[in-house]
Amino acid sequence: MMEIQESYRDSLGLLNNTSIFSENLVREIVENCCSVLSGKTQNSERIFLKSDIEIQEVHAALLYTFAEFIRNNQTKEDYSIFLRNQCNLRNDLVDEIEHYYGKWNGLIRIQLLNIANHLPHVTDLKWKIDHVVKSNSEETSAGLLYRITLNTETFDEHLQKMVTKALEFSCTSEELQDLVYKLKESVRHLQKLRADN
Amino acid sequence: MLLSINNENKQHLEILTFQSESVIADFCKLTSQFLHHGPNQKRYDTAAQKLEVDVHVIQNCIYGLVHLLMLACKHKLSVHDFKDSVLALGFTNEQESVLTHFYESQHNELHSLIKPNLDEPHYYDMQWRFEVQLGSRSLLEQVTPLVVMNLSLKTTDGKEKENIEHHLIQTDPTNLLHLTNELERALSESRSRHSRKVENIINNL
Repeated sequence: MMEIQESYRDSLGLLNNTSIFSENLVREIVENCCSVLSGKTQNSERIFLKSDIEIQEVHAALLYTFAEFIRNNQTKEDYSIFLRNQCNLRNDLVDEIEHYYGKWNGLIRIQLLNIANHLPHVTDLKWKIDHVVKSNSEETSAGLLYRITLNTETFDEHLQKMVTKALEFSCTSEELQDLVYKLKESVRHLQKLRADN
Repeated sequence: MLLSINNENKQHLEILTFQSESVIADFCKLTSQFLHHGPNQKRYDTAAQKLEVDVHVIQNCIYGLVHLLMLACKHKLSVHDFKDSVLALGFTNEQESVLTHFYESQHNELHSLIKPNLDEPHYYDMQWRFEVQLGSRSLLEQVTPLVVMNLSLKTTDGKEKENIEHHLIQTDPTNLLHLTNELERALSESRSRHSRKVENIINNL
């Protein structure tokens, strides 16, 4: 079982206080935490504008424990055991939070996975075919010319967010065939590995 | 290979065939100045007076020389072929050696002038490596397959120097398959009936 600091466990224990944490508020906080961790939204202003310090404490503890459990590859059952045994949360609360943990686990994993990816990640491409009719230079031979745009996603250290960049180049039929051949070779290698395992 | 020069340009160059080597060398200088700084009317007037011809004859002769050099560069003519082409225009061996020397001295510069200015990155090579990411600070115990690619693109700068740019990129197996399929589709599209039809029309223009 993972070790979580006592301060976080105490903060999560505040959820048992029904005079502050109604069913709807708990849902709103947990949903916002998942959304923030998966990179879909920022922290909810509605939650942060609330004057209760307990709400912000719970929000921070949920963010930390979700990230830490997913980072350590823990299942939703592990997380619910932690909430039940170490934070002493009521069963209905445990079931509710466990449900969100299971539902958002995949998306949050992807977000955590991307944090260490420094190379631009190719996600899509565009292509078009041109026919060169005439050029002022003898060096450019007439014929087909393919223009390829690779769409890549990369984490911008300066902006501190994912940015999309395009990598553009042109190639002749022979060069495109060479590129496709090499890509197919890598695909074949991957498929062979998958079949072997 | 012999250059094919139209009659108009041949007529423009004809006056040079009657001149001494030193006069041809002067015309080469005028041509060089034309290439670097544009026409110099004052010098053309002086040359016209010396040779007792109309100034337009001098101007056309300079244009004829520029055209001859450009054409030779465009067709990447060797020195040997350039010599033969000049001799075929009616120049003597002595005159030809002055012109050939001028062609050799101007070759590189002229070549950069007629280089295409559409310098877009062009595919050169691609190398790939298959990796499995096992863990990171933000996500422990993972098995994430990745294909890292080194895409080499060729670019040409203004001084006709070729540069190879290396772009390190990566992708996952799903996107790798998507990329491969899309590029294969591009290849097959170029062999489609529509593409071949358009290509035939353009070729017959």
